[in-house]
Amino acid sequence: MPGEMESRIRVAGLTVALYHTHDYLRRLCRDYLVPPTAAPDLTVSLDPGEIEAEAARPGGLRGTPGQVESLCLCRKLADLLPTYGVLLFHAAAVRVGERGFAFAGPSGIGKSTHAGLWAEYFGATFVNGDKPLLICREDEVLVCGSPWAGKEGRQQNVTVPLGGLCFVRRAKENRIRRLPAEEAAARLLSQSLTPREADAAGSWLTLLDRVARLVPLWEIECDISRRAAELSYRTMTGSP
Amino acid sequence: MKRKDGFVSRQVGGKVVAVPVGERTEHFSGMITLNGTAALLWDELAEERTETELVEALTAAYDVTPEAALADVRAFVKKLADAHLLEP
Repeated sequence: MPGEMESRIRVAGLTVALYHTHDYLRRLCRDYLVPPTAAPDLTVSLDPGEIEAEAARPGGLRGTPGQVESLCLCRKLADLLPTYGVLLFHAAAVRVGERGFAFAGPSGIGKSTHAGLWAEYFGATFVNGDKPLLICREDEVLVCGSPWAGKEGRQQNVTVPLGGLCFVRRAKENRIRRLPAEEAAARLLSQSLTPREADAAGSWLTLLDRVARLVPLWEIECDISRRAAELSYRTMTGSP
Repeated sequence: MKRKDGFVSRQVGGKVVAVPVGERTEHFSGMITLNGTAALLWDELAEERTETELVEALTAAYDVTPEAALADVRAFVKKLADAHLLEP
């Protein structure tokens, strides 16, 4: 394609070659770029007309052509990652010491705000404010940064064990409970896109099962207050 | 009878869930949660099966009477039909 460039990045332990035409993606990827000599595990490119088709599709991705291109590439990559043991998960993930914690829920529910309270009061730092990657091994789940981090762009290129995942609901009273694995399936599936291809979809479900079994899962009903953040922080990290 | 193809199912957190793949995603969105007997019938119905064959599959796998199995089969098949998941 005319004007096509390549950004080669290292994410979630994989080397990925991304082909794109807009500079926007390169800027997003700045913390993840590796020399083009590194052999790629995966190559992702868009078909001609894919950005225009997406922009024209009702309910499709919106933004500048550069933003739409970057999100189309992100989605294509997310479709391929489960085969490599990695999930793209819609959540706000932070780091506390050597552990990661993630907040998930429907858009606009306040997961990013809640994660922000952890940063403000407890010195947590954002791993990724919108689309962290989960490396789902047979015996542990790790959370790591990715170039795609939502409007605020809060992310860092780190990988830490995922010490807890909390589904956020808004309520007037603050309450947190441990979510049994059997209740987790519907919630987990709703925060990650099903790959279209059958083998990848099978891997995707297997990885979500690892998250359900290996990561402490929580559900918090909360407002936006320091008390709500204290409740989740103490409960999830086990801090006094 | 036979269910529509284009689904992948796996255990997630102790439950069997099925999701649409490929072209099926254009006609069905979301997930299907299947309990023990439903998961077995779902697998059986990937191929053409009669009601009798489904009842036999259930009584072979579970300690249930043929009457109870038949009730389970009919209830599940109705659910599939209501969700437009049976082949015409």
